[in-house]
Amino acid sequence: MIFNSINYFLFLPIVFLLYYLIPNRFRWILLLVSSTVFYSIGGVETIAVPIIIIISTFVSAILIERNSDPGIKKRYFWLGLIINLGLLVFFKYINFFIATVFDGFEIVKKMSHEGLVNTYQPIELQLIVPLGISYITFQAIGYLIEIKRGSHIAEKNFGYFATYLMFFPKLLSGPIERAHNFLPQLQLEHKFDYDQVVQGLKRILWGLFLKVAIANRLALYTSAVLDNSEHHTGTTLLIASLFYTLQMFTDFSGYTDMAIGSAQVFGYKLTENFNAPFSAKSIADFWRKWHITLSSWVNDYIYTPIVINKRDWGKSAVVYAGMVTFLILGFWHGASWNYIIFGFLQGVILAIEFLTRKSRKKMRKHIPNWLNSIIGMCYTFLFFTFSLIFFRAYTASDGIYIVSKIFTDLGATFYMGDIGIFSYSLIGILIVAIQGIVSVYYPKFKLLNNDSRYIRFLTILFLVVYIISFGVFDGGQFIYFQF
Amino acid sequence: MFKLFYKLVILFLAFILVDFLLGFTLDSIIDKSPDGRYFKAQYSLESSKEDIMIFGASRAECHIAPSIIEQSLKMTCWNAGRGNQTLPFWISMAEGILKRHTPKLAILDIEADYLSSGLSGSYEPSAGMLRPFYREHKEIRPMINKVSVFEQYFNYSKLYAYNSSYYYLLRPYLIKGLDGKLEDKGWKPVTGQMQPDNSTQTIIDTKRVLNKETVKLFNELISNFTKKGCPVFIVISPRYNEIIKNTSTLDYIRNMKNVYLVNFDDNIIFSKDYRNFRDESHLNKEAAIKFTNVLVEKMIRMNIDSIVEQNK
Repeated sequence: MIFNSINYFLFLPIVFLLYYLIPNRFRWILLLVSSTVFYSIGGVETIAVPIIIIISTFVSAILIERNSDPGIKKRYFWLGLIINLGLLVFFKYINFFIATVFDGFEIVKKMSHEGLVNTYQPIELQLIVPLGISYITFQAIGYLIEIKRGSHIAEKNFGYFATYLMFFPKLLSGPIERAHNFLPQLQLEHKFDYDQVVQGLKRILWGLFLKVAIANRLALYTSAVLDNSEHHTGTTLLIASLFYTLQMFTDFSGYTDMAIGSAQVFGYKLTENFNAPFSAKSIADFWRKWHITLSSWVNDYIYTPIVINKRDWGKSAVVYAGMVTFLILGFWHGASWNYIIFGFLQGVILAIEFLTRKSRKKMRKHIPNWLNSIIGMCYTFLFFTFSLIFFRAYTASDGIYIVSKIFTDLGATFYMGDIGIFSYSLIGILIVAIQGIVSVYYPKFKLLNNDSRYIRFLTILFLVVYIISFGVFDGGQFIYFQF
Repeated sequence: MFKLFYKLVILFLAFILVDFLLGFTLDSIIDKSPDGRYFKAQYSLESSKEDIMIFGASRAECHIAPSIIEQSLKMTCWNAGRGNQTLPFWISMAEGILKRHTPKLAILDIEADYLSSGLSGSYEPSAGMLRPFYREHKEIRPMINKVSVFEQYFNYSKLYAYNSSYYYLLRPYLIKGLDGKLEDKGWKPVTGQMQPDNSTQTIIDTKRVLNKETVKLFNELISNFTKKGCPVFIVISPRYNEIIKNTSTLDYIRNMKNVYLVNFDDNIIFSKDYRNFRDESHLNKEAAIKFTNVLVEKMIRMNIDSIVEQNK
């Protein structure tokens, strides 16, 4: 079930009403049951996978905690880790590995002119990738690491633990929630809090606006252009790539707003995933503001341990850790070379930023602050757009083709497509830009949370009217569901 | 909880009020539109009384000039074709027209292999064009309702019905004739010329399996006309560098009763010369005039008067 579907807008109020009608002690059961129903609508064939992850992680964590022998602790940790990673690799990456091995055979065959294999026929397993597997697995692995480190107590209530991993607002695309943030909330008494519920509903509305009225609208243009890159000029591809960055942001942050808002109406507070990312003045800053829960996860469980482990290397340890982390982060998005290139580009630019930070600091002293900020923001936005070209492309060579065309075929003419669609896209971008500027620089003027109830009311009404008037309702699922 | 419910009711009532006021305004904008695509759809559905009605997608809309047909056949003619639309739209239009008027004949421009193509993705564009008329025209509802089970409820909202239409609703007030001039009677000629290219000629000679859903709707469309005594002429417009030999669609049409497939052998005259085309699929204005003349000649040779008389 996706958040921008009618089914969800029937499902959510039913669960909401039941939730506040039943006694507090049974509410987690309702959340678990409704999350299972939520998952099953669209993913019932693979429901066994999250169940295996939940059971194996729950049991491993308790066994790690109960044993005092570090060797046995380690063994149980690895058992839990291998089950989690094994399922993730099997469902998400097995076809990539098979294809890569076959590609290797083909290269060897060509080089030796001998038939190592008679015909090149990569096997492709017909697997259904379980919904949200990357998110569930990362949360489970993070939990196991915390238990092994002794920084968190293993949850003894299986139902609570299952609810933690399955909680439907964050089930399909995060935020990647830490156990220490979520599990204690299950034991709190969640009284109906009017203000919290209204805040949650407002976030759902804003998220829906971003997804349906902006992201889906932009997708009409970006898909028409980027799916047919050979028919378009470099200028058109450049505009579509810039639009895609905004589409990606509005799509994913729209999803996140709906996830956080949905949790909030039940009294749960999920971790924020975005913090005005396009106000970042460097890529390092950007990754602290974009997909925050993933960035902090890889920072805590991959980057920092590598830096500590290789601390003797000095600066090289930071560069090395950054490269490894972002290659993994790229690969996490999907089993394809274009995602690996996306991750690699982030790693390279972060290394450059790290190695040049002192000289850049000196240079900045000679430039006014406001100009520094503008240059920084433009550079960050453009670099991220550049890397997203590979992210959006179906293959690495598609990405290279688009980039080369942008640099070699820039002209004055560009394809606008349907003028209606294009102009509505520009209106949408303008609204989001104004909202972004207001929220960062003029928070007092926030419309949805304005002091005046009339302004709040009119803003809500405007969003509803705008969504219904300009929304694209057949725009499909959120981009990040595929990961 | 009561406070929340109360606020949601207030919001809902405010939305209904805005929806009513804006909906009323938008209805007036369509009603007073000087021309444009919504004007054309409304005219076709509510006012058209021509003897000959033309249906089809952009190729019907651009290639067949009603005024030439009128002069040659001495019958009035209206081109109800619309770009990016297929069977769901044509059926809705035909239902709307036939409810109050039976043309003497209908011309339908389709692709040579049309019945082998699926209709996925055809319902939404059709609904997008027709939703403003949903409430007043029961006959168009079945096709719109195929988009989703919720359409019948959503269309209570006028704002929903007019979703994304504002640009094309307002444009005719600023620039006239962009979707075809009134005097051209639904014809929307395109100007410009293709660049010469070295592409190889495509020969369409295929036995692709017919798509069941497409065939079912096609039969429905044809029988809507023929039941009312309106014969249907099927036209296959030329495409650049394409020669049609035969397809399963053409075989199927040849076996239909009261349906007349207009000979497309002359397409080659148009298709081999890039100067006739604006792009690979669309003849430019000059070629469209020539094409309509050729079409009329063929229809006369097919003894159109006796066909019309026979079906009365």
